[in-house]
Amino acid sequence: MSYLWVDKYRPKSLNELNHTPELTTKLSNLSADQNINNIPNILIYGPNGSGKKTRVMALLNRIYCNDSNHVFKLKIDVREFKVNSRNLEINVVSSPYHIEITPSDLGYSYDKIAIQQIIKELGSVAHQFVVNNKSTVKFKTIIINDANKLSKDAQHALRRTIEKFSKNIRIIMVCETLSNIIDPIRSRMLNIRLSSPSREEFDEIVIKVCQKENILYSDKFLSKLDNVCKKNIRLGLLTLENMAVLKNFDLSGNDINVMKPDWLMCIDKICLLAVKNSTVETILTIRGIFYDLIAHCIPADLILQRIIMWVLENGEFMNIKPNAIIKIIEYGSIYDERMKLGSKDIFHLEGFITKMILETSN
Amino acid sequence: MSNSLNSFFSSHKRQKISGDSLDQLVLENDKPWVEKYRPKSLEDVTAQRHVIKQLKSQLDKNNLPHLLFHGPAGTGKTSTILALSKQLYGPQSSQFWKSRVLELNASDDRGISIVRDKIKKFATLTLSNPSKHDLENYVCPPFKIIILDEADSMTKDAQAALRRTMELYSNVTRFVIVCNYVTKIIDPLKSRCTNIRFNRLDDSDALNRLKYISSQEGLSIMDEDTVLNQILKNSKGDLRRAITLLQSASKISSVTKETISSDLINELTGKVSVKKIEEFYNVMKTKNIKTITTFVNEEFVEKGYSCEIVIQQLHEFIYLDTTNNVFLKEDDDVAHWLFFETDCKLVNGGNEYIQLMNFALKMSKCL
Repeated sequence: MSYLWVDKYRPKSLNELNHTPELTTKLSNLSADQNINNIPNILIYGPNGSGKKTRVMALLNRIYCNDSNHVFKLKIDVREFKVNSRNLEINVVSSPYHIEITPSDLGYSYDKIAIQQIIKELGSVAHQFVVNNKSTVKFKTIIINDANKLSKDAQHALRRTIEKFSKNIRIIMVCETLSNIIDPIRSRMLNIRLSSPSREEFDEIVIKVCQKENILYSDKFLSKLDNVCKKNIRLGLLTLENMAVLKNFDLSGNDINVMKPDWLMCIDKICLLAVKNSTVETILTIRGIFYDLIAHCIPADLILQRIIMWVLENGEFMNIKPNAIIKIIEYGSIYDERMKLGSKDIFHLEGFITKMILETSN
Repeated sequence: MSNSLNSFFSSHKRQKISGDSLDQLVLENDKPWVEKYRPKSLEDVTAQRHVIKQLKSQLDKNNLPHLLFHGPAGTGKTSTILALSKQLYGPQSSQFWKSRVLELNASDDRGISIVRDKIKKFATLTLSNPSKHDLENYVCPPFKIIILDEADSMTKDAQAALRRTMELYSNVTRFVIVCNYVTKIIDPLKSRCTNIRFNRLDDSDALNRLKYISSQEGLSIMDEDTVLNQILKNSKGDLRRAITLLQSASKISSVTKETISSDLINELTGKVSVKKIEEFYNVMKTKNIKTITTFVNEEFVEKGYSCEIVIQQLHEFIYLDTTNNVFLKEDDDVAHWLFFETDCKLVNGGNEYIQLMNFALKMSKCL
């Protein structure tokens, strides 16, 4: 079987995890044999690509089958719910021990129903798993992805449900930020913060993969990769694989440039256009690119974020005045909020870019 | 507990969940402490003396008005009503309790149809007869209780549908409405109930409770008072959060025998260390865009700290902490407005990165 390197070299047990060792000790303490059944519900948060999911799976692997990898026998199926004569479908990834859902896929008003159905279903049955013929684990785990995108309703619905079924299930919520999680949920769970790997740790991970795949690399390449990927491990490994295949596994040359993903190039283009020629036609061209990006499922707030990152990184270089930069960021924050409140993202993106052009032109 | 017991149970594929007392004991140990140490009777409720007093005097008269409990999270609203109902009807698992108490919370569907069907049906039921055992041990008043927990999430329509139901069946049924924000409850319901406000727990009461739990669980905490106070400070009067924190901390440090320290508590609440905040403040003073953005990027965004918490702590650092000599310029209102605005944008779902950058850059102008 052939896997992407990201999956091939994904750590499977707690011992193999690469970065932030303090957290790893904490997790192994949590999953220690004695009274395993009073493990708390967990809310894990951290930036993109820092390995939240990997950690959660490693934890489950330890809890349920003592690192024998049975948790990774996954199957995917589609569950259907009927709500007011409408059929809802949700993808469910499950192993014998846990079940993984992304309720926010369903959209704003239906995620609550899906969560309740699944939790009630699993919570009203007693579970029992014997680990190593010794201890018995009496709960099943539900992993909720993208928890920060859950509607407030769904989160409220979780409050008492978590307590009520705590005998039979544990919930692990995975999210990028805590900001959208309501207080009552935070106070019921053990909050675990996962930071991105440090520069050295990131390099170490990349180097390890390079050695196993027999890739030649240079320090220069590593620092370039680091620059593009911003310590996002997933992106790092994907880019590495991509580059390696393109360059015949030799990445040690001095003139090698790390490729950016297409959409990032598009964003660079937008920014350059906006800064360099401030005319009405530019807005029209940019609109085309925006539509393209959105059609390729790049979320609008990510586009906005990237544009702002670009401004912050290259602003001085492009001779934008500090005051103008601050102004642009301010507009960014305003349009970001409006985008969340409104329903047509493109209007707000265009509004922002027009403001940005205005600011940079005078 | 003994391994032999566990293996004995695991030899049976299916295990009865309740009933056997030994079994109960095992289950009791597995519960989160919040559930385990829920008060069992009104006397057990640590704080809220005025509420308890009021309820007790009502109990002595063997009567109860409709009740509306409101107050911040973790102040014991649900605990109080559960404790009360346990005193009235016995343990939660008993048949009698089930026939007399209906507990509905936000996780149950509570649209208007449920109010019409389920609640009404339960309200109209004739009273079940207490057994002799129940009569001897519990109060057994001649009414049923319907608990509507987290009532703020009920729709206006559903609340309106309750109005007449409450009055019609008041001879056999009492309603207890529990909510955080009393403003979310419609006026007609409010006027039908006795409103009782739950205040934030006083530190000494909460501290006693934490000490009790810690001694019951046999925790070894170095410098107990400081650590427990730290927990209380972080949970801001929310006892449930405090207890969960204590449990998490003890669980996380259980194997390596680390002592529970203030740092660990800080980390568990997702807080940034005060030193970092001070550094942040000083970096903002430089007013250099590049320096500020790199700092924010490296220290907050990549470390995974939540923007909301950073801002909250900075606010505390600037306005509440008197030990440092931080002072803002005359145009202080700009800074205040900035705090408010950023928080509002975040609540509306704003992107953390953008908002935090905007905040840091604009704040640097005020300093």
